[in-house]
Amino acid sequence: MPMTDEEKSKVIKMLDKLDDSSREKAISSFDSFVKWLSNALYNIYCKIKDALKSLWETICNIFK
Amino acid sequence: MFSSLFKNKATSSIRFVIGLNQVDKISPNGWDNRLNMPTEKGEEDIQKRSEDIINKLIKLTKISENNIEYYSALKRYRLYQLLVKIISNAYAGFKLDNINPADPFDLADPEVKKFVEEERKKRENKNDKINATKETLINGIKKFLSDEEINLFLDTFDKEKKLPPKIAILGKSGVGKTTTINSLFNAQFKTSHTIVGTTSAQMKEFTLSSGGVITIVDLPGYGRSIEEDKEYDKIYKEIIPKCDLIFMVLQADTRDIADDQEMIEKIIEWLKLSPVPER
Repeated sequence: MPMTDEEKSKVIKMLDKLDDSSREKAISSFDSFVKWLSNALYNIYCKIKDALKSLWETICNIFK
Repeated sequence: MFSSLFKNKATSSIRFVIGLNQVDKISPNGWDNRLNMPTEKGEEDIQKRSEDIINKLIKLTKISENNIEYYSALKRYRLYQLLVKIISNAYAGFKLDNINPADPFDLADPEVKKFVEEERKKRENKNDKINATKETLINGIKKFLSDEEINLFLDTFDKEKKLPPKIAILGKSGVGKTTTINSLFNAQFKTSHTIVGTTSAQMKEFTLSSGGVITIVDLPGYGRSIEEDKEYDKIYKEIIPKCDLIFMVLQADTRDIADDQEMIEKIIEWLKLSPVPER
């Protein structure tokens, strides 16, 4: 049975949600990496904390 | 979007996620099987009921909403959202970022699946962008370190990457622990053997569709009797400090969470005593 326009619209909305979640997954991964670094190599984390912020901004721009 | 990242030291988070499973059963006639997604009314009911339980759990146990997610493993609904919570809260959770949960549209009708495939082809470039950012971060870090520090960083990073993520899963019988693991990690059960002395905790390795393995520690259920719970507490105390994440599965349509509440409070206390996993 062919899909109705309403069904197509619903599926597209769901795909948008999945895309958003996929982006959130990448963001949470970076967050997790920074948390790990601060636990595993605290001295290095302190040294590059400011640089990480800057890198993060670069990454944010990629997502825009 | 990233405002919370640099505010708190990492140890302030807790390696614990509570999943409210089987939300597809919340609303009678609230599931569209052809599309394999909730109807509009169904989604409203799911969200309302799930938020009620989440608020109740937060009020009773002081756990954060960042540690709770609702989903349906059987219908593959909101698995990405659950994975995000797991990556965020697990120790070195970034090791799980190459995982893509089982596709909900594989369970939809064939014409729906075909339409999804066509739509996805139009969206392919977006994912390449996400993967590129990981390289940007690692390469960027190297610029700010001495050779010695780079070697230390890479050595520690590689060692961590080689350790299979270890996740302890617990929940009462029938809540869908195995379905969750298979759907969430798109994984297949590999081996099973008892490893913790005379206890009934089992360590299982699952092969991931994205490569590598994940170690799942299946903890014994709780809430059957006071005697059993006391015995199981010993197992939990032994295993929980060694795991990268504790994942508790609850049934979303459950009304009685007294046993769960007690267990959640205990787990939070044990994890506070071991802010990073024992290796």
